[in-house]
Amino acid sequence: MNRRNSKSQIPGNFILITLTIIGVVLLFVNYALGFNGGPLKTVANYVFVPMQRGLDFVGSSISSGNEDAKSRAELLKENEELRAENDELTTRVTNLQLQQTELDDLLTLFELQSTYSEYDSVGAHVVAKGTSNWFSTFTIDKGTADGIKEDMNVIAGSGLVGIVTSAGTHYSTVRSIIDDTSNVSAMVLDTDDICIVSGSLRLMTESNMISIESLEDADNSVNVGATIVTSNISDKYLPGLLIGYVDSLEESSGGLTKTGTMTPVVDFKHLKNVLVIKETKETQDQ
Amino acid sequence: MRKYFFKAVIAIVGSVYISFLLQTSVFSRFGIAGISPNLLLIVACMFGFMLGSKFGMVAGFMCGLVLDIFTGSYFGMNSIIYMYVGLLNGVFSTFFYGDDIKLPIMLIAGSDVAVGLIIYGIFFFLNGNSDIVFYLTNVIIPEAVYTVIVSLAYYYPFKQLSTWVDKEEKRGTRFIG
Repeated sequence: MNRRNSKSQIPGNFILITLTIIGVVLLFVNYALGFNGGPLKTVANYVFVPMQRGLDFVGSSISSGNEDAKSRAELLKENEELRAENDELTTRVTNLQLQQTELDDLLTLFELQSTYSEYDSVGAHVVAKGTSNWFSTFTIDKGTADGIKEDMNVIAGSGLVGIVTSAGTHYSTVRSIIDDTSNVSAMVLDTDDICIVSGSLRLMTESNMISIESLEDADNSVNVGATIVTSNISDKYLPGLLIGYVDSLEESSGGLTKTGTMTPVVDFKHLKNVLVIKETKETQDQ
Repeated sequence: MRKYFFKAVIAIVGSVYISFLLQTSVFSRFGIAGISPNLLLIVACMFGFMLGSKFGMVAGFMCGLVLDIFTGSYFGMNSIIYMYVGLLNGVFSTFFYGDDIKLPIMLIAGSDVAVGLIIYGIFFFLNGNSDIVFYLTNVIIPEAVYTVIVSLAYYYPFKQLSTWVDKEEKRGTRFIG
């Protein structure tokens, strides 16, 4: 009656046990050695990523038709405003550059290393978003062939987006800071108070915010709207990268630190192009 | 038997490839309230209840493996979860009547909720996020609904595919109705 069993010689239980063992071994190897796919990444590289890039191109051509539905008058007005702002910013930049040269001279005099130097970076497109609805990761179209390695920071516009978790030859996966497993050591720009910024699926879904934890602010000098950047003591993130702005603060249950919420400066729903900083915290400290 | 094996490999690899690309590059743009459907779950389930546990297991493992390559953490987690999804759906393959779509829909919805609860349980609940109602209403249920809707489009093509793979098996009316 059950002809199915006579077709294939391998019993079902054998397959089940073998695959379960393989799965568990992979988990352990990943935990112990940080193995993230190895040779399988090459498969992904040549089999999936080219198609993803193509689909991404098609998709963005279709969706850009929807988004740019502003009227001509609106566009012209926006253009005017942007030109004026551009002129103002160019003047400011020139001034800052002059100040920077002076600062560099003074620092060399004191024989200190310049902390916020220009970082070498490479641009990339986001070709695939998220493998599941629970975590916030995405794939970009640059990899080890372009000099990208694990733990490199990723920024977009002016703010921190995430960190590279694995890199194939021509693609990399990035974990966003809004992902629940992400914790960034950060500080308040004005007061240098240290805190931890953790991603939260729940807060992002409810109010487009992420959480601040363990903020040491004894003299209550941190206000709503304060700027949060990555701290100097983070072991994965370069210092001084803008993360966002404080939205609310309250005493934590212990009373010693504060917790709160903050708005990230990057729009994670519409990420298209990112910048990967090619210097990792490790190499910088050397 | 050799022909059978190759057809199976082509079917599994092809569906996983296409579904993964659709899930991450196409459907992620058309998310409803930021939720995209879980197409690889549909593939694992359909291989399970149309072609039996063995197929379901292997297809599920492949689905999970592809997800693991691109997720970048806990490599192996998705492989195990989806493999068991395929396996358990395969248990129901003896109840599978070609034209009755109710059982497949229930299986897919059930599998999606189960996978959601497992991921919630391990990665969220154990980290202190104990508000299960929020995650149920905002992630698990919407994803299950969206996935079920898309599975309707998957159903008939997959039936054709399963008939093609298993041609000798399905010949003759073993099931009435």
